[in-house]
Amino acid sequence: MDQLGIMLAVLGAALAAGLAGSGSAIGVGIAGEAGAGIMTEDPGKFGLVLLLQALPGTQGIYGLLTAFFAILKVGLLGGATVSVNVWQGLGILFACLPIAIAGYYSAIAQGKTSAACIQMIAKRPEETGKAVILPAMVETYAVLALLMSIILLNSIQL
Amino acid sequence: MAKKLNVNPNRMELSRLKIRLKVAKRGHKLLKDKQDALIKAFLQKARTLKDLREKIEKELEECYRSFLLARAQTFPAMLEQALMITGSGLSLKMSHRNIMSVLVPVFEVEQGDSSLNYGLGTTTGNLDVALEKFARLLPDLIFLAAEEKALRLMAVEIEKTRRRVNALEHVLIPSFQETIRYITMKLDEQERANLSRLMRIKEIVRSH
Amino acid sequence: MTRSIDYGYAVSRLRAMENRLLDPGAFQRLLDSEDLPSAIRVLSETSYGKWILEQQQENQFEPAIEAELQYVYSEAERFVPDPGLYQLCRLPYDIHNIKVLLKGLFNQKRGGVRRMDLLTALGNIPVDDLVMAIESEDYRLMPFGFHRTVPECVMLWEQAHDILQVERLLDEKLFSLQLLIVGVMPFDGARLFVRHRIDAENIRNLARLKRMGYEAAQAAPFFHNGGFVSLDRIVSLINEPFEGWERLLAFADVSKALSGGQEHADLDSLLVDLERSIDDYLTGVLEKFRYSSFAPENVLYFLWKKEIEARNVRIILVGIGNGADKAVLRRLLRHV
Repeated sequence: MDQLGIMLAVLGAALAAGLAGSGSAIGVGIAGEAGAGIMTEDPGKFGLVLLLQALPGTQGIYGLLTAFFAILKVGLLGGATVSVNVWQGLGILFACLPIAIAGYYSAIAQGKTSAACIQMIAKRPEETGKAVILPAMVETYAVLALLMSIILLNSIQL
Repeated sequence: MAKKLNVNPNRMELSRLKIRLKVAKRGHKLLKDKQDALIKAFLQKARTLKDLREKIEKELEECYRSFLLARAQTFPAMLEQALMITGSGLSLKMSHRNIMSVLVPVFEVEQGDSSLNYGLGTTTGNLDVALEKFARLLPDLIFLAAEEKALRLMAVEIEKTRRRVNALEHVLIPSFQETIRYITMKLDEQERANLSRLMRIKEIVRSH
Repeated sequence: MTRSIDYGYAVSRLRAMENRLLDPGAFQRLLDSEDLPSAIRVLSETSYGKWILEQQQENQFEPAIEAELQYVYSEAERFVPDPGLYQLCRLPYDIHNIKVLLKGLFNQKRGGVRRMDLLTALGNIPVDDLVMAIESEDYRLMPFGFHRTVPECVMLWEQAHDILQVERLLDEKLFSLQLLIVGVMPFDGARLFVRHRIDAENIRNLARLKRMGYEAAQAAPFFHNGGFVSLDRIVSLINEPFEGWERLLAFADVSKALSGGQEHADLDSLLVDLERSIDDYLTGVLEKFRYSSFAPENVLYFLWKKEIEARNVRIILVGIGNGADKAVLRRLLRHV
């Protein structure tokens, strides 16, 4: 039974990295498709398109970060192994959920916004600054989720 | 004396020439009258035709303008396609009318009634307007063509008559007159010669 | 959700292509040119330029317009996931090709000419296939249900020798096919567009038939089913004066196309403006989708805009070539 706590913590880390990562993949994919559309007609827009396409990628990084924190906490990354009981394990799993869920959905939403903004710079290249701000607004909620996940992880006493 | 006819100066010729002169003069007068009448009719017709032509040209321009609207708004092949098959027939009957010995053509047009021979889906409404205008103009256009042809024929006839009149007036009649005068003079001369000869003979006879 | 994301590439590509559409300034420059050669020079600075360069004869612009449309359609074909969207726009050209071939066939039987030069490559069905099918009277392989329609047309002609009936059947087919195409696609916008289009076509036909003095019973077969306004109502309008149409149709969106109809003295002048306002109205229907980044209807919007642009270019060039009044031309121009 003593292994179950660790495994729950691992599940939390896996969800954080996996869900946020797939969300980012979908988001980057959407933005990338839109970017490819623009660049077929106007290859000179590569720099701007790349910037906008990369924006939905951050959720994946947040997910990875949270996963690291989680497994670091249970001592799987070297150091002394900590004994984790079931309740502590569950706590770590739940703490990972904000970034897993918010990461997944916000990445997709951000991908769509990025795609729309890529379409916008196709028409108005001079409005690039505004085009970057719009998807960045979506980022806020991913950052908030990351913050919450880290606070929750820290607040679990082992 | 270039105009003089090369004839024998005898009484026979003289009387023949006098008859010919008379005929020529009468012919000249008749032709002159015909020419005057023709010119009068021609001028009158030309004047009315000019108005008619101007009117039709204006209408034609209007037709083309509305056709231009249709042409400008349709894919050109679609426009031609719409007009590929026409359902309404058009029959043209031609007869002749005689105006002062000029045979003038007269056309009678009969237009079929159904005007719509193309689908509405691939054409524009301006085509309807333009085609209708053209159809309305067509009889007038043919009438104008007939009248203009008549005018041209009349002009040719006037030209011909004038040449005849001129020939009579400036060549035939003067030469007849010249010849008659020549023959009369010649005959008078002969008579005088005869007279003097007779007188001379008489004198010779008397002196014996 | 994934369905709508399919159009990410297509819509972005179209957005970029939209940049190359002629803007009002370009149309103004075209309008301001003195004569046809200078107008063509202005046009050759736009996306039509490369096709104009290919023209053998001078002052030819129709082939260039056709080539540009052809290019746009073939590009769209390559990246638009649902073929129905561009098929919808190319369908009128198919109908045109079939009409050319059928009329050629009928003409030939009467000793007339066939006019193969009128065929256009803008249709969905390759011209060669179409010619082959109709020449050999082997209609089986014709797509879009034409395998039934074409023999029907031939039969109609043999019976009555009335080309109007054939034309009407094919026009009817044009719209019922459009409905069919959008019916199998899950896009409400496309369906809306086709229905609005049918409404607009009905109104246009109504005005044309009214002008020609058709009775309600005679006019009924000219109208197409499937619009928002019912056929009965459309047919009944023919007995009303056209000034009242807008009020009587006020419940339907299409009445917008009729606004300003009261200013016209007669149907002749109404018709000139009606065609333009109908096109503008349909542009308006599609314009709504411009604001959604993944809407497949953007494809329709772009292709429609391109058609409108081609029409505008043609109006200006034909007008300038024939010395038409610029004010008249300006009034004909569709909104861009």
